[in-house]
Amino acid sequence: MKVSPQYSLQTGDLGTSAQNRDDFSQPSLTLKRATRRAGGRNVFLDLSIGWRLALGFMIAALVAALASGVVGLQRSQSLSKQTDFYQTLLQLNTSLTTGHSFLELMGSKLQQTLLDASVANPSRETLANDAGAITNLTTLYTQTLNTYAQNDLLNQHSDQLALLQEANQDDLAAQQLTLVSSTQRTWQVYEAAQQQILTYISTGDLQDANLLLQDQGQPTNDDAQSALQSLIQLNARLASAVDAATSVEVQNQLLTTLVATICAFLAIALVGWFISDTLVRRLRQLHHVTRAVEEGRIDERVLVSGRDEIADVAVAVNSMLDTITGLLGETRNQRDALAGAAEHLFSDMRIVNAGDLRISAPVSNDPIGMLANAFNFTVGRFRRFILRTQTTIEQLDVVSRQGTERSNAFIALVRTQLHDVPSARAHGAPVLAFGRAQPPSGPLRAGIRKPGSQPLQHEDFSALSKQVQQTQDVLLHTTREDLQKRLSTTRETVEEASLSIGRLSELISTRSGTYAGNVTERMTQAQIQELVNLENLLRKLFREVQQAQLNVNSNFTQIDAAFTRLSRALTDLPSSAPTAEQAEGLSYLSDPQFQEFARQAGGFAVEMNTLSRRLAAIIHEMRTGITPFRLDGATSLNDPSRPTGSLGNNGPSQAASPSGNLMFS
Amino acid sequence: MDTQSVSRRLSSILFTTRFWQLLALTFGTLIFLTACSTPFSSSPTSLSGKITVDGSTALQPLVSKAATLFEKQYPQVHITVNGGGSVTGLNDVTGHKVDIGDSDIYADPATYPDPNLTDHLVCVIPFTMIVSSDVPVTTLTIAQITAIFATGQITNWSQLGGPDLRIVPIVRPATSGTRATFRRYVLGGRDELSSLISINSSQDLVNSVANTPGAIGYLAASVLNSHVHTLEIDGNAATIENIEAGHYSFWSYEHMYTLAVTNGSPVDAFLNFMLMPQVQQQATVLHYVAINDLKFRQLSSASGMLAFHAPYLEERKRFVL
Repeated sequence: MKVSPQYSLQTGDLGTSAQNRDDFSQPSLTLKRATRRAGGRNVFLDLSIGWRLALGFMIAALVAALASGVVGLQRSQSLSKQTDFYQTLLQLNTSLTTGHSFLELMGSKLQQTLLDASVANPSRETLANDAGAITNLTTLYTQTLNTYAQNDLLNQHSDQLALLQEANQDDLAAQQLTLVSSTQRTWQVYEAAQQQILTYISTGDLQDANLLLQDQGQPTNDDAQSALQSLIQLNARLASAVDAATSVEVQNQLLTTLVATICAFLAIALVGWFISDTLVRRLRQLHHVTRAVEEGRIDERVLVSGRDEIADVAVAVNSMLDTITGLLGETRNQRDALAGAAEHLFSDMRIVNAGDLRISAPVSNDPIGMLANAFNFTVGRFRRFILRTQTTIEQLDVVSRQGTERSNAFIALVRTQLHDVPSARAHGAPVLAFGRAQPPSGPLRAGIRKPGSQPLQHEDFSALSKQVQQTQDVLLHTTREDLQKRLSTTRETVEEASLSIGRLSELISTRSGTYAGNVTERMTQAQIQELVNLENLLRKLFREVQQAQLNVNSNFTQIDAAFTRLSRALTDLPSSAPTAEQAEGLSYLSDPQFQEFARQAGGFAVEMNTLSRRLAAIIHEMRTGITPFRLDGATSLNDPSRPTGSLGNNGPSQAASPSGNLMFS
Repeated sequence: MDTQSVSRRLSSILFTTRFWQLLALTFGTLIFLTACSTPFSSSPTSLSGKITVDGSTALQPLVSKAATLFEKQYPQVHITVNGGGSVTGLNDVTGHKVDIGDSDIYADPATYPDPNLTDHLVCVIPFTMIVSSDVPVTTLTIAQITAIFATGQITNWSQLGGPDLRIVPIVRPATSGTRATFRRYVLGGRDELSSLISINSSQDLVNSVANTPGAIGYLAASVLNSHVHTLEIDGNAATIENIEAGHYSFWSYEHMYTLAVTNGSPVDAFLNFMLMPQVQQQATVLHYVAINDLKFRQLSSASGMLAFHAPYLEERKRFVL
């Protein structure tokens, strides 16, 4: 009996294909515990197979023994009958042969008596002896014949007659009777003649005696012997008749043997058929049930009848099938739970896809839970990236605002310097504040402040503007290097993210052969797509950020340099202002060097303003990119350090939902 | 063991025609062997051959009739029946000249010492004394018969209360079983007078007696006809009752002697056929006594069987002394 491996309990891959799922979801409605016992129908079924077989063999042996016993009994009976008959024949033959010798002796004794009487002086004693002997022989022979006639006639022995009848020679009985009559008759004639002769002898009538002996005595003695001979010969015929009867009996025995053999064969075959019927039919039914289960009809049950081993097996199969059915139900429940969890995760992903990053999927111990964990990790990671980007944007925002503010202030300052120098001096503090706020500008200012203690000449402005331009170039280069450093760091982060994505993909692909993967394969596929979308978004954002930072950095460098120069100029100016204001207060205003510087400063301020606006535009753009993400709320990530979960490689680019709530502005 | 294979194998064994063919073949072989081992019983038409019979003329009519019936039943068997007398029959059968020798008398063991010589008693033949129709005497005593045939003391019917008519005894020759029986059971062993007319066959004898005035003879009842008168002996007619009772002793068993006869041979079949009811019925018709019709009331009794010895003694004393 085979059990299809599809339904083995060890495999956890429920739902390898949709068809399979349909297959065993259908009969689940008709599951029933059907252990029926139809005992008592056949008493033999309650016996164990061993007992039944033993009983069957016993019956078969009994039948065989009976058959051979009948044959043997018949044989021994006929054998004993024949033996008895032969024994009787032997006895008869002996007694009749003895009788024959009596007759011969009588004949010779009669002649002897006549001779003894014929001598000159016959001895009376001898004659008396002779007469006595003859009388004795006569008595003996008469006895023999009488015994034969009274005891040994076939008609008086029914068993012998039956044996002859078997040989179809029962007319021998009549012949025997005739022959006995014949013997009796001849004997009587001879006895009468003999008596007469003896009388003649005793009366001394020897001539008559001799005459009678010649004429009658001798011939009748011969007749008697002949008749007796016939009777003796009858024995031989009887013997051959018994022989014939034996052959008839042998035939009968053969027939009996044949019939007994056939009967025994039929009886044994019947017993065998009966026993095999009690086994085979139920085994076939068992086989039918296992076959049905193999074909998917797991609600089939074996009809249990009797109490033997097959019934035990049938009960065991039934209970096994019950167990399997129960386990299938349980598995279905688990699958439903998993499907529910996957559905939940899937909806979470949808929400995340819609931009809500507050989601933390419920984590359980099953594969879906692990997937959810990975998902959570990815989402958390992404959220932190968004947060960082956001921070950068904030910083950039501040920088751009400050840049705008300072460029405006510088423009204002330049205008004030041109028209009202003291009023322009009031703006030194914010400039200094700005310089302090910018760490790279600190040493610059300090470096500039030292040479700045020397009184400025009008011609110094051209040098100053030249210096501004040089510093601007140097700072541009240094910040570029710094920018590249930041760029590479970000790139490393991205590479790490890509690595994580690869791992996740691998994880998902290896998990696809497992039980949970079976159930939520579609969901996992969708989830991967969502994660890929997120990854694309991340990349896009990274590019934006990179570009923004590049721009910002360059702008910032320029701004920084410009402001440093400007600060130095401004710091130098107020330091010489008290003297210059009075002495040559408006002189340097008209100085062409100064005009040049003013023109340069104005251009620079305008340029910086433009940059700041561009920066602001970029920041705005970045903000609009980030706004769909809702970042507050759930912040806890179960295990951020776990190196799992990343995003897929490519997919349709995610369109930021314009309806997303702006959580920061 | 796979249940499937078991059930399939069993069903394939039980429910294929080949199995039943094998079974039928087995039983067929068994039955055939049984049939082969059965010795074929002698079927009626399988007998063929020639059977020669001669001997007693007294038995000849019955044997001829039986031979005709037998040949009708077994066309392949040809039976030749001849007469010749009982002694001829015994001589011929012991001399291997014929298959069956008919005889009215017992074969003398000294004369025919062949141990294979087997006696078959087929019927009883009563003999009777006959006289020509012009003799009115109806009964004679043993002594009177002896006086006529053996001693010649009575020569005229007037001595016996009849007309004055010379008694003409007609006898059979020495080969005749009838004559032997007559001597043994009627004459008490005496010889017949040598001067008597001897006739070879029973048929001729009955005619001679019928045609000869004052004739007296003896013959078997089977050849008796209406032209002669029968005589009672000592007042007893030749009837079954008298024979059974022992009052009438002038009768004999009819013997058919054979040498060694093989079982199932035509001779054996013919000898059995002689005892069959159809032949025995014919025997009754032909004035024989069927062998099984003779039932002695007292087999062991020896008295009364031989009525001759007392008169014999008297006669002997009378004639001899």
